Parts: sequence; C-alpha cells; structure tokens
Amino acid sequence: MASAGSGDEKAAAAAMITLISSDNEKFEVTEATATLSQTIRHMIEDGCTDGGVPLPNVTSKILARVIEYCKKHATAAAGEEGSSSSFSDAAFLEVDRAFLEELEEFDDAFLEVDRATLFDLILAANYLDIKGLLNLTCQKVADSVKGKTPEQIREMYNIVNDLTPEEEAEIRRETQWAFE
Amino acid sequence: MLPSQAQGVSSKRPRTASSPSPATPDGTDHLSSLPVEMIEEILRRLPLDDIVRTSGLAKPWRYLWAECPGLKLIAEDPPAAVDLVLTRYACNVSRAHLEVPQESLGKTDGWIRALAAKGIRCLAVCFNPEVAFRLPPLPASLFSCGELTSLLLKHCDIPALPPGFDGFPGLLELELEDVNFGEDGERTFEALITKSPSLTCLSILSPSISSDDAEGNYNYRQWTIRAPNLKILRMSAWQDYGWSVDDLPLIEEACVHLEGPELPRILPGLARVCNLSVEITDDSILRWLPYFINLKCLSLYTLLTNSSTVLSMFCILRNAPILEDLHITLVLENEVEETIEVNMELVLNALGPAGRLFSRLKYFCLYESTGHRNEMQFIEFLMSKATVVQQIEIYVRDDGSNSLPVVFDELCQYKKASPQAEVILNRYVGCYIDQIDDDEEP
Repeated sequence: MASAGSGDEKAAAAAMITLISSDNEKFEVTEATATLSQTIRHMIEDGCTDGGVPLPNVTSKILARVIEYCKKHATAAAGEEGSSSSFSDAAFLEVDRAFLEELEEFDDAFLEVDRATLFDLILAANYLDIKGLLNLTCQKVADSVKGKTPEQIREMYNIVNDLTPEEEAEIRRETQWAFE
Repeated sequence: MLPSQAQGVSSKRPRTASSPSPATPDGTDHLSSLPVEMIEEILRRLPLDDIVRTSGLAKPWRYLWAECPGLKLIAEDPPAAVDLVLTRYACNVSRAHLEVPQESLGKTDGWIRALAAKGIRCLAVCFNPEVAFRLPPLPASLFSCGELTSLLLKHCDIPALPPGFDGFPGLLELELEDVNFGEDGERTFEALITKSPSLTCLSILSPSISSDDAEGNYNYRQWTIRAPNLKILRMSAWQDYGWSVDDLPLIEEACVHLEGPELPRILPGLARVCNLSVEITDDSILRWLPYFINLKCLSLYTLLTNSSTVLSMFCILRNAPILEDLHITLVLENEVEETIEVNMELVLNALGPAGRLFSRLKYFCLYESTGHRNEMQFIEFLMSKATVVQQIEIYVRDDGSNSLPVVFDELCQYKKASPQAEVILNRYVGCYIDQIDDDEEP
C-alpha cells in the first residue's frame, strides 16, 4: 500500500481504480465509486487491483452504465455523510429529502433502457454484487409482470409455451384463486 | 475510457423502452435465461398470486417458485394460496401472517402443522373477532412450532399445553390479544410464559380466563409471570386474573393498565423499570412498593378526587428518586365522585418523610384537567417542591369545574421553587389547541 511519504500525485492515484471491461476498455473511477461493488471492494481489500481490475463478464457498454449508477449513488452517500455534521436537524432533513428525490429521479431515468440492457444490468449487478442496482433492476422486472396473465408475460418476454393443454388445465385448476 | 466518456454514453441512452415495451426484436427469452438466483430475486419482489401465476408460463417455470427460498405468507393471501404454498412449496417459511376467516377454521390445524414442519419463526394467527360468543379454538399444533421467535395470537381460545410441550426456547416476542385460556387457564397461561425463557417482549391485551366455577364466580388461583429476560411488558385487562409479576431484572419499559386490585402484586416485579405507564383507579392502596431505582419517565392514568388513588400515586412518586418526566392523565370515573379535598401536605405527612420528592423532575404534564380544587392543589404542591423543573404543561378541559382564565389566574399566584420553570396552559378539546404561554408571569 502507499507509503507514508508518498506525494500528492501518488495519493490521488492510489484513490483511483482502473476497471477493464470484457472488450478491454479501461475505466478509471474513484475508490468510493468502485467500492459500491462488494466484489471490487473485496479485491481492493485483498490488494489485487494493481494494473486494473479485469471484469470479463461485463461489456464496456454495460460497465459504463454501471459506473454511471455507482458514481451517482456514491456522491449521494458522501453528501449525506457530509451534511449530517454541518446542518441542523431540520436543515439536514430538508437536504436529505432533496437528495432522495434527486436520487429517485436519477434511478427512474436510469431504468429507461431496452430489455436486453436491463437484463445485462441485472447480471452485472449480481456479478459485481451491487445491492442497490440489483434491487432496482429486479424490482423493474417484477413490476413489469405484476398483475399480468401468463399469456401477457410470455408475449412480453418471448417465452415459448411448451406446456401441454392438459398441463395448462391442471395449473389453471391449482391456481384458480390467483386469477380471481 | 475516462469517466467523462462514460457519462457520454449515458446521454445517448435509448429512451424508448419504458414499460410496457414490446418484446426484444431478436426474440431472445431474457427472463428465462437469467440464472435461477436472479429469477428468485425477482419472484421475491412479487405478491403471492403473481408468483404462483408464473407456473403457467412454460414447463421450466412450473415449480420454479416452489423452490424459491424466502417467500412469505401474508394476511391478504387467500386461504387457497396458503393451501397451495403449504403443499407445494419446498422451502422453509420463516414468516407467516394468517388471517383465518370463519370458513377456513377447519384448515387452521393443517396450516400450522405444515408451518411447523417448515421451520416457521415469525407467526401471527388472527381469527375473526366477529364470530359469535365463543372464541374459535387455537389448534394445539401451535405448540409444535418449536423454532418460533415471534408469535402473535388474536381472538382465539388457547388450549391446554400438550403433555410433552418443550416450550418455545427461542421465543423473543409474544403478543396475546383478546385470547381466552380455558379450563385451568391460570396454569396454561403461566406455563406458556415460563416455558419461553428468552422472552424480551410480552404483550397481554384484554385476555380472559374461563371461570371453572359453575356459578360463574371468578376465583382465580394465584400465579406468577416469570420472564428473566423481559425488557418490555404490556398488560391491559378488565379484571384481576390472579397474576403477579416475579422480579424482572432486565425490565426497561412497562405499560400496565389494569382495572382490578392486582397492582400491589404487579409493581414489585418492575422495580428496575425506566419507563412506566400505569393506571391507578382501584381503591387498594399501594403501600408496599419497591424503590424504582431507574424510573425516569412515569405516565399515570388516575383521578385526584379519590383519597386512595392520591395516596397510591404519592406512594409511587415517593419511591421514584430519579424521576424526570411525569405525565398525569385524569380519567373520568362514572361512579359517584368522592369530591373530598385532598390536602397534599397532609397526605405526605401521613406517608412519612418525602424530602427528595420531585428533586430531579424536569417536566410535568397534566392532561384533561378540569381545574378541580385537588388538581390545583397538586400543581401548587409540585411547583413548590420541584426545584429543577423546566416545563409544566396543563391541558384544561372546556367542560371542567373551572374555566381556563380562572386556572390561569390561580397558576400565576403559585410560588415556583424552580425559577426557570415555564408554565404552559392549553385548552383540551379532544385534541390540543390554543396555547397560552404565561412567560410574562413574574
């Protein structure tokens, strides 16, 4: 790790992490942003981030989006920490609310992606172990099937129905209450 | 790529796909291709009917939900859903909240057996309160749920404990609301609590114990609440069921609203309580009380027009050396009011030395004051004793014996032992309005 005598330049460099996507693009991010990912946090703790962190399961397109998410949420987390000491309770609550609203708007806009990207984001969030992003994306999919019939869900997600008519009838019988 | 470029990508993101969006053009089944753990993440975010409907999507989906850990049964789920989940679901159910409708009474036993087999930890079983005169019976299978940590039972008749009952060793929270203990109910009640030695929170609201006397006379055997780890105790009941409370070494908070004469058997166990709410309306005087060595906040529901309750109140106050907050809510008594005037000094002299009374009191509040002579005398007495009190708040009823201006004038006459005490007078009209601050008072 950085020695005590290291200069400003070196200290700043130490706080940056290079992430390498599956298609070999390099992304330089702050440690605060990167450690929203538990996977990367563990790598940093184990000291194996020199020369960049290869992420063979994440394309540059998806990694760019993931970084965008982490940056926003890392700033929000830092902002909350900072404000708690410098504002009175009432002011802090005000700031807190504004932060949350802004974050919510960001999340909503962030989710406006095509299905393929959404599912890639779920996989990336899972692989990188980013709780907030996983929650956000899974909730988006859950909301999309809520209240839908199997037919509607199949159509929405290109699911091929391979159930026999007998099986379908049996399932209907078993889950009749769920259709009422 | 630099971070700024990463943001560049985001500004070009497609804005077409807000739901519901058309299927991906390439026809890929993204949802089914997700790893199972991700599908389970999604399922856990859905209500039970949506979850179960996924069995009709395709073959691989048919029993996928049934292997998904972490599903909960909640009150809104219809009985048929509970049936299906309990027969098909392969995983443990850690949480279930069952509202049992009248027509499903016969299924309750099966449900509870199935939940016991699935390692249920947090369970609520609430029966329908509007079902006639008799409370529906709770199946004895409940006592086989050995892994419970939290249990709520509502509107039911609790059976005798089965002979081999090992207790609920891990039970931390027990809440009983409108439950009846049948024959030999005192023993069942006592054993249920004693055999749950980890209990930290116990709520007993409007319980009953069937009378075993043919003539309907209530002659309850004496029994004891023993809970060495209890931190929070809530009891409210219409009559004395013969209970007493053993010493509770860890008790922090107690709310004891009992209308019977049992307080002298309950309060001694609460000597270490920090926060106590208690109703004193019974005539039995609380002569033998412990020192409440930790008591900082006391809420009393009582009347100041009855010499017994006033005496009892002073018995508690005298034994609360570090009391900081005192709230008194006056309750209306339907019976003929004993409008005797209680001379506070005389009462205290009768009780013995009370030099340190109110010595740490910071806040006093009197709710639903009628401006009655006794109330005014109590306030005057408190103001003359409490040397460090910071705020005194009085809520005066509109229909009281003295109007707000009269009370105000009188308050201004009282000597304040604490120079910084602020006295606030409010009108009480069901809700609190109209604040008059007497800061200018000399």
